[in-house]
Amino acid sequence: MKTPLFHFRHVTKRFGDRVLLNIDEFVVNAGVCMLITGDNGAGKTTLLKIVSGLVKPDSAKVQVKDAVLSWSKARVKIQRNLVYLHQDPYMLDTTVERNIAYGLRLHKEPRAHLYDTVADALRWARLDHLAHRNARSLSGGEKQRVALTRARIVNPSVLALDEPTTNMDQQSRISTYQLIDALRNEGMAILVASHDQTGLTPIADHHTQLVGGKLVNVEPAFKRSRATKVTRFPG
Amino acid sequence: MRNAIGVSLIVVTLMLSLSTPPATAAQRPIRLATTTSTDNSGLLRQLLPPFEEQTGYPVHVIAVGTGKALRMGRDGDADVLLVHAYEDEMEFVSARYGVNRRDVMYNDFVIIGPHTDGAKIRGLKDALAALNRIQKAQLPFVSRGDDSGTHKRERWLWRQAGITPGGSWYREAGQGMGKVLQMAEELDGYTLTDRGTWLAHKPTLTHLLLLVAGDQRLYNRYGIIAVSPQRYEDINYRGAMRLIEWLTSQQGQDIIKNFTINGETLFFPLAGAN
Amino acid sequence: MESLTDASLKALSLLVSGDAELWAIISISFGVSFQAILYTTPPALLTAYALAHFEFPGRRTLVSLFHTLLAVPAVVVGLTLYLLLSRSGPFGDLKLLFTQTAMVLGQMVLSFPILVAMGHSALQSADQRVWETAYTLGAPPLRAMFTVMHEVRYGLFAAVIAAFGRIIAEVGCSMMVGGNILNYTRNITTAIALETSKGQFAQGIALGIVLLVLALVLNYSLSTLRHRLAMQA
Repeated sequence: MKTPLFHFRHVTKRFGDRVLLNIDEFVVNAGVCMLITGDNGAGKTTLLKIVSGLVKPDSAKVQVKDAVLSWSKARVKIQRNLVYLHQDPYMLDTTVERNIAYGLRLHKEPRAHLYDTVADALRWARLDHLAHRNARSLSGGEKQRVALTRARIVNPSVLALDEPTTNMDQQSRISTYQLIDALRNEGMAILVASHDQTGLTPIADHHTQLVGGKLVNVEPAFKRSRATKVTRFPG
Repeated sequence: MRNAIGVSLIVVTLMLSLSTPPATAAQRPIRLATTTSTDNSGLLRQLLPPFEEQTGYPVHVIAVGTGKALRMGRDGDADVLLVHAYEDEMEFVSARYGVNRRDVMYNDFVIIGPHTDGAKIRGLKDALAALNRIQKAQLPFVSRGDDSGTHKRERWLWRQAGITPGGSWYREAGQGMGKVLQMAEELDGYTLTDRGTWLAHKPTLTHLLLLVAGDQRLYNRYGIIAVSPQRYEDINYRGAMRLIEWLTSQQGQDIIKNFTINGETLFFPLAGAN
Repeated sequence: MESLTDASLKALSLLVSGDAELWAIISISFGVSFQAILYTTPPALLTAYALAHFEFPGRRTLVSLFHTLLAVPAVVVGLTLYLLLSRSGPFGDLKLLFTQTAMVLGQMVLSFPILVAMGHSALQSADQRVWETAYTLGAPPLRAMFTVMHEVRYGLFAAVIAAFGRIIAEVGCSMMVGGNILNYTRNITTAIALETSKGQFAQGIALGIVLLVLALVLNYSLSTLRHRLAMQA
């Protein structure tokens, strides 16, 4: 039995008159990879951002360990344990190395040690040859790898990935899958919102679908037919 | 590159600000509000440095019209006033805004105008008659229009002549004496000026001539007044008194007497006359 | 009246020969305006960030207020400050009238709305993802703010340069609250006003040249920044 890291209850979010999300329960378990699919505009990004502490829901309770907190209170704990990655990750206007060091520098790590850690991370993601390039000049796949490495280095318990493989060529897609898989094997819980089920289903432990503002469980991933190739409406 | 711009800006500016002469000195600065004529003529540049050297008081000269200077004295924004509007000065003292008024020097006002002299006032000894002719001829007359000592005197002269100046020939500039002289030059106009400023500017004014002088009504006397320490106890009264002492001393009066531009004396000592 | 060429030649020789009084005036100008910018920039950028980042009632009104303040003439600021700082005004006891501090204050008031207005539009143009990325990677609010500012730094530099350009070229306020005291509060613009009134055009032109060169340098750096800004987008 896995211990929930965060247990969200009664998450609602409306835009004007439209109820976008009305979710009774959303559990983030340690070390588990969860795939969230859904149509464009179903609210996957909004859900992920609420869970990541970036978008304020209209209502939500979050259980962290034994305490039941409001979303605003839980946010601080979420910030410490979860890193959210944009569909098109934002690269700070500086080198790849400094982008990756960003989160560590916040923790006042000693300089020498910091750059050793960064160098290790760069090797891990096979980005060492790009270390001194400006991160803005990278390709979409490379940016995604930088973003994943930048997140991994702060060692979060959870990664929330928003459409990590859209607009990518096959080669980049595969290397992104490999990184995600590697991260999961390191024990990180992973939430992925995606259209792209083909590459992700083998990695995911759970698959849930966002329909009409509700989450619906989809049959266990390993049972799914490999033939379902759904790559609709990228972006 | 991006940092280079910022850094060089900072460095240059720091260097410049470091080279600023220190504003602090041994003594508290004396704020001298004075008329533009004493400052623009260059007299104060002769008069003040020896004083600053001997006493250690830096003097901050704020050159404004006499009206503004008196107002600054009343508001406590100056420590000592060097002005030229005798009646207003007396009023200022009797209203207890100022103390220890002393005569410092005098010169005279003159009426200047274009060498063509369309109003035919050249050589007149009567200032009022001259103003009358200018008004009759409707030729441009540039007035200071700034409530300065010169402006006060000019309005007084018009009153004495029984004229209310107005109309397109009468231009109220609202500027200092030097600027008004330039305007008279450009407009081929007449104006009333103190002799000191006229002499100081004459080299650049090729169209203008001194036309009327010598009327008793054109006598221009400069007085110095300390702002009353009773009204503003933290005013630099000590410094003000030292400056008054200096300007009326033999040494100060000699500097005034010996101050010339192109060989002409601008101001005549008057201390001891009262 | 001396011709423009004569005056200009005299002006150049004044500049080149390192005329002490002239350079004192120039250094006062730079010293005062630099201080003003230095003190105004942090609170102004904080204000701009607050206006760009937080939703609160009256935010729009505040933004348009700052845009309106851009148009306030320097002499009006000067007059207001004069009345406040005058010995008989409410802050007379500070004895700041006719000091460099008064000039710095006046220029701070003048530069604040420019920095807020331009800083605000720069910060507002920042990608929402910058703040989100900083936040999710664990940045505390202040650090996240600096990250956002760093990402739009060229726009912010441009704001600072524009503000500096305005206050170093401003005459009304400095004249009024500084008093144009030689070697103390006489800066480039008040000196030009004075020298012109005295008919001493050479020094006026020399100082004008300094301002022109400065304007050129500032505009060049502004256009360089704009270029970088365009590349950044």
